[in-house]
Amino acid sequence: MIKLTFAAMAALGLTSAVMADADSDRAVAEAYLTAYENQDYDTMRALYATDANFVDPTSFHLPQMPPIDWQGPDTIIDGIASWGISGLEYHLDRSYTASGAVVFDGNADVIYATPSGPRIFTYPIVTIITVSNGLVVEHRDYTDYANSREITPEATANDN
Amino acid sequence: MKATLTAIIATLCLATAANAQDMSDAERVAREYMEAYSNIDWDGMLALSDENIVFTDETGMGEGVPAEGYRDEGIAERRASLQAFSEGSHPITLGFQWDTVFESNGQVVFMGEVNALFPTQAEGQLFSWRSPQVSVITVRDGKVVEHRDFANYVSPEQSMVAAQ
Repeated sequence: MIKLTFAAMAALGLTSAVMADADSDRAVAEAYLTAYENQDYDTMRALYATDANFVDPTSFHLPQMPPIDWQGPDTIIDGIASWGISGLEYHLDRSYTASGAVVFDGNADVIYATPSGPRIFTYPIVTIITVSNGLVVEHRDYTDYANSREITPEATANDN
Repeated sequence: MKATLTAIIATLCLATAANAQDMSDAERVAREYMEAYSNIDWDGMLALSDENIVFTDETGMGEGVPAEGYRDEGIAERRASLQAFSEGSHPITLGFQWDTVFESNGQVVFMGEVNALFPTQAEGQLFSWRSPQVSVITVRDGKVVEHRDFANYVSPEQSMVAAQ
């Protein structure tokens, strides 16, 4: 909710320290998201705070799928590894940073490495990476599972 | 791992097949609530709010705003905050424009922009405050129990515009 006086609005837009913090937080979040896209667990682990959490409230109560709600780097990495994905690719409509929260709004293509070959699903997603003291303290997803679409290229699908 | 992967793929295929074409009750409530929010209809918002609603905007920042952003617990705090917003800034509209809205697990996610307008002392001029915004509305038993906002308070587009 916008709850600013005009004076506060002007001050906010001009505070270089606020901008510097936002740039620093964004750099950490982007490095983390790139590692997440590449499933580079070593880099992800190095960027997590010891009490980091990974949560997707839209995943709770999905049939056959355990809720995504993990605390601590080891539990998070184990949880992500259980998905059996070989990579993700974000396609962003918007991204912005405020107060340590870096918001990525768009679609994610997720590549599942199945025994019969890769299968790619895409879904609308909001990913919010919260950074504190240079480390990721929260990865929060909101995912539109009901409107996921399989986009595996036909040639690949025919090979399966 | 194979069992989990198979379950995930099955879940995705089921979700894709179901592809909820019909708007859920949760989404209907959330859309009505956000329409009231957009139109500065606080009574409309509060009528759809649970007594124990929690509002957060961790991206919120400014003079007097705690480091963790805005947080209201309960409908009385919400009412007080909304009234204070009206009395302090006299918003005309929040002008939300959503390009994606979806519901999953009772969470309704709005992805788009806020295009807020405020009065100014300059005749025929309004103050425009624009930012990307995500709002996540959690609905239970027909009432909004949680409202989370995320906006770009660091570098919104701010300008004077002609009143229509």
